[in-house]
Amino acid sequence: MNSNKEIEALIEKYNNGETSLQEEEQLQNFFRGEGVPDHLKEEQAWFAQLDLRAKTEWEGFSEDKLFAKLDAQVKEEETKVVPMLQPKTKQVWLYRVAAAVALVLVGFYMGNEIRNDDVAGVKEELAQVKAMMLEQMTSSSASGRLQAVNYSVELKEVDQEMLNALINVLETDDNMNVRLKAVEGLAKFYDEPSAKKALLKALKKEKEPMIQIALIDVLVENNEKAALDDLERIAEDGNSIKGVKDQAYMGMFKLKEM
Amino acid sequence: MELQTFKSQVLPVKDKLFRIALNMMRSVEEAEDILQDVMVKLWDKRAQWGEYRNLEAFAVTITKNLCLDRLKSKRMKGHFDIQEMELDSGTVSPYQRIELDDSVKTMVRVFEQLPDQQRLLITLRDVEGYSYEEIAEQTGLEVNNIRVGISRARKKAKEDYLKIANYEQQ
Repeated sequence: MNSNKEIEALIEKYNNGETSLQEEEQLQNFFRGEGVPDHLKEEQAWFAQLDLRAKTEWEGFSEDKLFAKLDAQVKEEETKVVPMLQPKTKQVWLYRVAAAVALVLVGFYMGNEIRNDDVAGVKEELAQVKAMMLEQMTSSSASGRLQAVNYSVELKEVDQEMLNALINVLETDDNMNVRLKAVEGLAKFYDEPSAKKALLKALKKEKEPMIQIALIDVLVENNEKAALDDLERIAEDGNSIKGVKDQAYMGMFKLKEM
Repeated sequence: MELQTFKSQVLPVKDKLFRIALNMMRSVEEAEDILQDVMVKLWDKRAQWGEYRNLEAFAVTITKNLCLDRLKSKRMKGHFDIQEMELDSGTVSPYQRIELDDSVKTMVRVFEQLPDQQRLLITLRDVEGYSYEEIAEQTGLEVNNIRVGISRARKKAKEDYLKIANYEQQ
């Protein structure tokens, strides 16, 4: 395709930092081919090692690990403790009073400013966040689902749609950690009849020891007598592992006591 | 929202970032270590994502900075001699371990002994194929200086290679 002269001229240009990306590609292709003359051997070696580097990938990468780490990061930020500053002089109180007065004034002002359509905007935004979480709960990555469930756990209020999504996760998700988080989420809204029902149902079906234990804890904590039969069954079940059995015995004991 | 952005814009460039870190640090372990920090830092700065035309350039900049910082602090601690550049025993580039032609093997070594800045520029241009404008955005250098640096690196690599080859022939 290229005569040696052309290639040599191109190399010269390349070494001077004057080639375009296209021309560099052309050189790379030339040196990948057969029949490179001997006196261009170091050029070939150069392009060969570049090629090698370009093909390298991050083999040790794990998406789950990364998102677990980012998740931990977010939690850490939320719980960061800010030390209180000690007031140095009594004057500080003056500033505080002034700040409080200013705050009240701003509050009144803002209160008058906020109109109904602002409230509607906030509501809409909340709805969007919710929709994203619901979608994320069916994502293909376990860490993604875990994160979505996590967000929902932190909500102060839920609606039936969100509860249903959590229940669905508890009943169908393949990943143990995601289900475990869903137990935690539903436990928070135990007063909701559907949450309570789902947790009782899960106790009947769940085979994963970690989750069985979590379920037992939640139900016993809420003094749920309806769980007694299942606790007895688990405690007597030869297939249950010891930790789960112990927990079930303990639960029965506590429920009968209370 | 941010998680989606992170997934759709940062994850696809993870291999590029890894290659940059690897070519700078010359050890998989250290490159992975740096990349963990890069990811956390990117996530930390999510409030600033909007300021960047593309997240990729921002991610490259963070990677570059962390690598240069780490190399500098290693040097301050006297982990390795600047001129001799014998890599400290803990770090062995993965390319030194694979079966290669002698000439390529020598060139791998030559590349790894180029000055930090030159390794960075060659990686961005010759390995990742970024345009000079993109590299300017990532490094904060002027296009002209980038060209000069790259030209020097390419010439130096071949000089060093010939020196080694001649020496070994004697």
